[in-house]
Amino acid sequence: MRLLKYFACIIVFVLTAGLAQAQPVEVFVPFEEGMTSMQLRQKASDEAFAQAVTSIALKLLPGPLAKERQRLLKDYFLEKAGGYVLGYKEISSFRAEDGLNLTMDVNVNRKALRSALQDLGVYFTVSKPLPVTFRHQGELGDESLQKIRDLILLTGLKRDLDVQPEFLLQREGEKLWKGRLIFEGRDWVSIKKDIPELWFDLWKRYFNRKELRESASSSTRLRVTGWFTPDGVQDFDRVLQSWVSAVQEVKLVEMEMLPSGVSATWDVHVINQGLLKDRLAAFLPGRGLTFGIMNQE
Amino acid sequence: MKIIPAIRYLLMTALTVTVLSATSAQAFRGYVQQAGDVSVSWGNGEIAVVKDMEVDPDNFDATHQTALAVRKAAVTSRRQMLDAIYGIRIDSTSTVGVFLSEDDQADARVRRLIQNSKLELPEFLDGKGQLVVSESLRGELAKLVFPSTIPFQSGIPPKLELGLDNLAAMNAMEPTGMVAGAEMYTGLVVDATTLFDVQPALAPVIYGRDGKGVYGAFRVGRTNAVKYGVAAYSTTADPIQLRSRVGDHPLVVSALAVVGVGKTDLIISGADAELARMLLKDPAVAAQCRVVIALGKSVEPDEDLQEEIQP
Repeated sequence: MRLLKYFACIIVFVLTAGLAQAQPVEVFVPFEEGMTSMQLRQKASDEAFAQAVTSIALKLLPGPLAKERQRLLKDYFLEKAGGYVLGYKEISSFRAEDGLNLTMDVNVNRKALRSALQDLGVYFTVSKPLPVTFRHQGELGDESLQKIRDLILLTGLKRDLDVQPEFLLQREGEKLWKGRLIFEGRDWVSIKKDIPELWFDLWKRYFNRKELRESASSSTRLRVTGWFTPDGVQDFDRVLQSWVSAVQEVKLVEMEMLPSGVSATWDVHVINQGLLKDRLAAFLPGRGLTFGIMNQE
Repeated sequence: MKIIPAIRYLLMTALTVTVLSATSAQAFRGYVQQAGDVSVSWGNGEIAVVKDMEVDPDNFDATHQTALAVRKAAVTSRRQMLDAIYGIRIDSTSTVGVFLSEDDQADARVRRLIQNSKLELPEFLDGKGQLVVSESLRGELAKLVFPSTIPFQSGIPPKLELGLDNLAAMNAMEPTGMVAGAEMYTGLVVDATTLFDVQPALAPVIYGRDGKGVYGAFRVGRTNAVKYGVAAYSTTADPIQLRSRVGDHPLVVSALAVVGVGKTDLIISGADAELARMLLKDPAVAAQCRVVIALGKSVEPDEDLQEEIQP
C-alpha cells in the first residue's frame, strides 16, 4: 500500500508540475494614425500583460482593494508587468477595421507577484490602513505633493501624530531626495533621484520584516475524500490553486487509492480561513466529496 | 383575527413564487437533446446523466454493495457524459471530439473536469434510487472546447457560397429597406421550428440571404461566449418565454434554410438580416449573447452524431 501511495504521489507531482496557472485576457487596441502593424501588436501585448498581472494581483490580495487604489496599482504595474510574466499563449488575434483584438493566456509568476505586493505594503494594508507619522523638511512642490498623496494611498497609510513607523522626507542637494523610516529602534535611510523610488525602497524594508511575513499566513493541511478516480484529484488541485484570495502555496502532498475511493491531502498557506471554508463547502459536497482542515504548527 | 388572512396571503405568495420559479427553470432548459440517460439542455447549457439504480437493502453486505454500486454508476455516468460532450457540435464543420483528438492537453483537462462534475447521490427508497451527474457547457468546459481558431469578435463576417439548392429553398421575393426602429429591440430570436434536421452547436452562424454572416462568434468576445454561450436554443420562439435571455422586446425572425455540413448554420431574409445587424450594434446585445435559436421539439441525436463520438 505504501508503494502504491508513493507512486501515486510521484505521478501527481509530475502531472501537476506541468499545469500552468494561466490568466486569460482579451484586449482591444484601437488603431492610431501612423502606427505600424508591429507597433499595434506590441501595444496589444503590453496591454494584455498589464491586464493579466493586475487582475491576478487583485485576486492575490487577501481582501477587496478600493477602486482608487486599484487604479494606482494598475498604473504601478503598467510598466513592470513584463517582469511577472513567465510565458504566454496567443489564443486568437484578429485585425478588425478599427484596431486589433487579441486574446491571450498569460502565465503569471504568482509567487513573485505576491512578494511584490507584500513589498509594496498593499498586501498588508488592503483592508486596514497603517497609521504613520509623516514629516518633511523644506517646501514640496504641487507635483511632489500629489505624488506623495498617491503613494500614501497606494501603500495604504493613514497620517497620524506621534506614532511609529515615522517617515521623514527631505531634499538632499538639488537633485536628490533623502528619506528615513524609523520603527522600533530600526532606522532605515535611502537617497534616490525621485520620490517613488525612494518610497518603495524604504517601505519594502519595513514590510519585509520577518515577523510581519510570518504572521501573514498560516500553514494548514487539507484532506479531501470521496473521489472515484485520480483525475478528480488533479482537477481539484487546479481549482484549489485558483482560489488565490483564500489559499496560496498549494502543495499536493499525498494521494491515497483505497477500495472505498480516492482521497488526497494538500498543504496550503491560508490567507482567508473563512473564505476557504465557504468555497470548500460550496464546491465539494455537491460533488460527493467531504473535507477536513487541520492547522499545523 | 388578522393573522389567518396574513398567513393565507403569505402561503399564496410562496406558492405562486414556487410555481413561477419552476416554470421559468423548466423553460430555461430550452431545447433538450436526449440520448439514453444523457440529456443536453441547450437553453442553460446543462448536460446531465440520470441513472436509475436498484440495490438489495436486505443483503448481508448491503452497505458495502451499495457503495460499490454507487461508485460504478458514477464512473459509468461520467464516462457517458464525456462521450456525449465529444459528440457535441462546435460548428458546422467540427465536433468537440474531433477538436480534442488533436489537442491532448485540452482533452486531458476535460476528462479531469468531468471527474469533478456535480454528483447527486441516490436516496434509496425500498432499494431504488437515482444518481445524477451534471456539468455546465458554459464556464470552464467551454474554455477548453472552444478552439483557438474560432475568430471571436473579429468583426469580420464569414461569407457563405450559396448553392442553387439553398436559394431555391428560400423565398426569392423579400421586402428590403425595412430597417426602422432596430434600436428598440433587446435581442434576437431566430425561429427555425419549421426547418428539418437543424443541429444545435456551440458556435452557430446566422447568415443573411446575401451569404454574409449576421451573427456568430465573429460578433462576440470569447469571454462572453464562454460565459453565456454564443446562442441558446429553445423549443419555442415565444418572446415571453425567452425573456430572461433576449429581454422584453426581441426581434423575431424566421430562418429560411439550414446550411453547412453539420446543419448548424441558418439563413434569414435580407430585410431581417439588415434589422438584426442594426440591433447587434447595441453592445449589450452582443456582450450578453442575447440570441436564441428556436428548433422546435426535442429530438434524439442522429446516427451520424453518434458515430463521431470518440471511443
